[in-house]
Amino acid sequence: MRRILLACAALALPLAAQAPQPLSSRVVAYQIDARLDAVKKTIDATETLTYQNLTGQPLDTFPFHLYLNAFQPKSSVSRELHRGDPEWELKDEERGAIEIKKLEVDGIGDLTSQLRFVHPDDDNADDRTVAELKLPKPIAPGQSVTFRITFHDRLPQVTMRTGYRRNFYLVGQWFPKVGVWWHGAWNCHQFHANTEFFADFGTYDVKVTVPRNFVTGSSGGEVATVNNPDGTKTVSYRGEDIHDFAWTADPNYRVVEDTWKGSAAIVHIRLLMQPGHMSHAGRYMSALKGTLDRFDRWYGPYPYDRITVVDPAPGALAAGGMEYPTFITGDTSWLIGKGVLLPELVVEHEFGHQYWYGMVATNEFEEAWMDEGINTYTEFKIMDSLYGRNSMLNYAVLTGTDADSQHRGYASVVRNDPITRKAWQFLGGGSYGGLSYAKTGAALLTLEAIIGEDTLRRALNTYFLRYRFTHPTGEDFFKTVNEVAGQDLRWFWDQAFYGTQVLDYEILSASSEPVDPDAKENKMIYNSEIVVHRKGDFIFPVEVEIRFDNGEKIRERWDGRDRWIRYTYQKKAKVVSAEVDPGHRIALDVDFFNNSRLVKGDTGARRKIANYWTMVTQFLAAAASWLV
Amino acid sequence: MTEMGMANGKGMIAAGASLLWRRQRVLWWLFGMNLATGIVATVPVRSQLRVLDGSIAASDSLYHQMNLFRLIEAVARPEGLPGAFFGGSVVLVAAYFFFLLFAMGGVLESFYSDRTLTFGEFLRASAGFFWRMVRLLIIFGVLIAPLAIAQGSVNPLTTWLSNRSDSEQLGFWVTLGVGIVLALFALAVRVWVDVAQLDAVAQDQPAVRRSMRRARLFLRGHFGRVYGAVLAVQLWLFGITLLLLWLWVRLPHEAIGLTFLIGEVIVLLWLGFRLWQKAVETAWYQQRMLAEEQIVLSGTQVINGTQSPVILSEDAAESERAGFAREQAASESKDPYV
Repeated sequence: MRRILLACAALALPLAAQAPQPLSSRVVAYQIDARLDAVKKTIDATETLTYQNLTGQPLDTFPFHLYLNAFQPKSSVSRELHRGDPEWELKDEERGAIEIKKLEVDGIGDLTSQLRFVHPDDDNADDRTVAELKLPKPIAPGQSVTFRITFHDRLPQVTMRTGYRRNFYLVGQWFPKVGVWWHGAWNCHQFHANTEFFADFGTYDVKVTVPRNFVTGSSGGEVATVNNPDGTKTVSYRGEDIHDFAWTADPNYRVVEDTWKGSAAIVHIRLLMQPGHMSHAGRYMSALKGTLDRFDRWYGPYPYDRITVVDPAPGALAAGGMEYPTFITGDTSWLIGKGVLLPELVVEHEFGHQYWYGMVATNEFEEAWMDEGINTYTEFKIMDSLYGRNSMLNYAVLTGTDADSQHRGYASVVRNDPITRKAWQFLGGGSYGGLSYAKTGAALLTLEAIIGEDTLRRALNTYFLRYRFTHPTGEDFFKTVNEVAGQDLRWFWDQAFYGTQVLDYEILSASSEPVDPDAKENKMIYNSEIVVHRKGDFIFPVEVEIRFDNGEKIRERWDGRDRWIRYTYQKKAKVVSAEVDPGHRIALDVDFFNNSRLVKGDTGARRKIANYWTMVTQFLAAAASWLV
Repeated sequence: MTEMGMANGKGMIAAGASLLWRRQRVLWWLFGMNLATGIVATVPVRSQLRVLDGSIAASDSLYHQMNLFRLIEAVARPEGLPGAFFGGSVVLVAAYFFFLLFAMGGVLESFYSDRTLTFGEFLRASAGFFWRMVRLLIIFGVLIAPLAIAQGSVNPLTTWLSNRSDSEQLGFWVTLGVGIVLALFALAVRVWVDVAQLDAVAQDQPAVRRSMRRARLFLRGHFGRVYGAVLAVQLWLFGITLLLLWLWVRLPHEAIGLTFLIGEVIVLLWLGFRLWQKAVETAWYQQRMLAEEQIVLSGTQVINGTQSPVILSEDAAESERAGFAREQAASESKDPYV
């Protein structure tokens, strides 16, 4: 017997050595069995959650997200979105809810009555998006606890992120999810208008029962499908080393599949397309493969063997542009032409979240810039790399890059809040978006001017490899960049991320005057003077390029500490132009138009816009003749 | 051009074109005023955009290409006045509209009399018919309001349909289809009011409701041909506009003068084709009036029994005219003060 056992062990050892190691610490293990009622738009489910206490201390309290309760009239989300609008009412079909019918803890018993709603972020006692459970006895460090939960979901018609539209379902934030023990305390925020993600890594075994004609997809890999006698089917999924689980179902989906070979895995790509959007499937696929390639080469390997892209149904665009582990939603319309690269951009951005959220699992509530902002920066880089100079709008008469499209969004709110503010505490949605996304993206583009594009790419690569499958903070990011760049960039982080300083440089004047006006033309010497002004309070070293009419170019470097600087030259040539940041690398500058001055003013832009405006006015006037 | 020659749409369109060609001075006046409107409206804009002069970024992104996002930033500069862009244009478009309303009496007088009016005559005609044009505009507004309301109510309908359909395009096509149908109806109303305008000028008719009634009776039996001719001119306009826009987008970014020229051609065409429609209606109206005179003459002869009423008995259209003449006489005797 012993020999047999030894022989078995000998055989098993190489197999064990080959078995893949978990990528994450796997704090949680969820087993969920859910049944969709496609008529009532509800889900009834049972959940078994096993939580490993790896905190190093006993735990007797557990908070749970109950995020579908955000779709209630008195929730904090409703307050945040409709502040100051007393007329607003949440329609009945737009209401969502999650109810815990029963909660048992192994070894303890039924604790359903012990659940109480808490609101850690605000004073809204009516918000029911977080519930807390106090155990009669603590769970010791290293021990695990198993919760057995029966719950009922009422799905909202999609108005924001999750829900249904006719037979389309995007089911996210749908199950009781435990909070994260982080920095010595539970971190389990309420559901907010701008933010919703922070959870522990683990495994998900989820069974979804839906009508048999529905096509499904999810954050997990499909394990099995069983047809049931009642006309439904049960699809089993398993996801490993992920921290959330979303799924979708729709009888109309057309499935488009392909594979992409990365450095860590062969990735199975699955597009779940709406029939009317099939002509855009190629655009999604091409953008996704290009993005996978750039991320793999620039920032690190994609370790999962799958990615699913959901194309939301008509009328459900509010579920578009969302990210869940190995599962993202696109955003397109049949009316969008090839010159508008919105479908590509959304797929790129949401896939980027597989890195900046999915694997580097930062706290979106408290430091939204770490997923949205860093992701916006990589989006700028990848969209430019894939689609060139006009990476957002590419028509003969109208152009624009992705970064251009976001610049005004940032520049108009730059004074409102620092990037590092907690997501629900920004002045408003515009401020949150303009700063968390656009300003962070612009700040990192600007950082390239100091440390170089390659260095920043290496820094992001290091940051990814170091912090994947963990929950780093903003300071972890700053330290990593400092370390890779080999310099202390605190002055930059303080101004760009922790501060609200405005970066704005201008050429105040540029002129040339003859030293001796009576001298012959070929002997003429000119005094040229250029004044550069720092209009804003963000101090940033800049380059200034001065061009002369003999073709000579001079580059000056100014540390920007003073309010202005004057450059004077005495030459046989006159100054033609002066420009701050001639390489156009300081994306944080709020006004690009004042960065340069041509001594002999080029009026082309003014004439062109004014002419357009004249024509528009004339055309409207001429069209009015139809009324007479 | 004879009445028989005018019987088909092509004849009417050609007659209208010929009339407009002869009276083209009116078009150039309207265009000149339009150009002046555009230039004046853009004065504050040109001043506000002076900040872009000498900017390399502006030159690169707005002159050598047209970067939409930079354009928005240029227009919405914090120190700028967005009102300079929109306010001036809105006021001046409204002013031009009232100018057109004022000048329409003079335009129609010139068309109907088929002669070039002196400036004084034009002003007198414009002033003399101004309130009639205003009242007809109000009637036009009242008639077209249900169409506008119907167009407005399409949105809830398309939303309702979209909520029940998996087709994303359904709402778009329904909106477009309803829009086209309503536009065709609106054009019918336009033709009716246009003829009433003509009648008010031709007959120096102070009672615009009577002009509306006369126009309705006048158009009876001929509406299809007139409407077809006006619609054909409209479709030609759309086609040529699209062609010019196609050309416009192919020009280099720096071709400011050429793009402006094409823009001006488009504006000129929009004004010209609208006048062409008016001229088509005028040419048709003139022929109808001639025919009326013949009918009245023929009718007199029949009653006197000195000549056989050949026209009336051989041509169904002529028979209609006789009916119109009788209705017209009855209408005027019933309600002489409207």
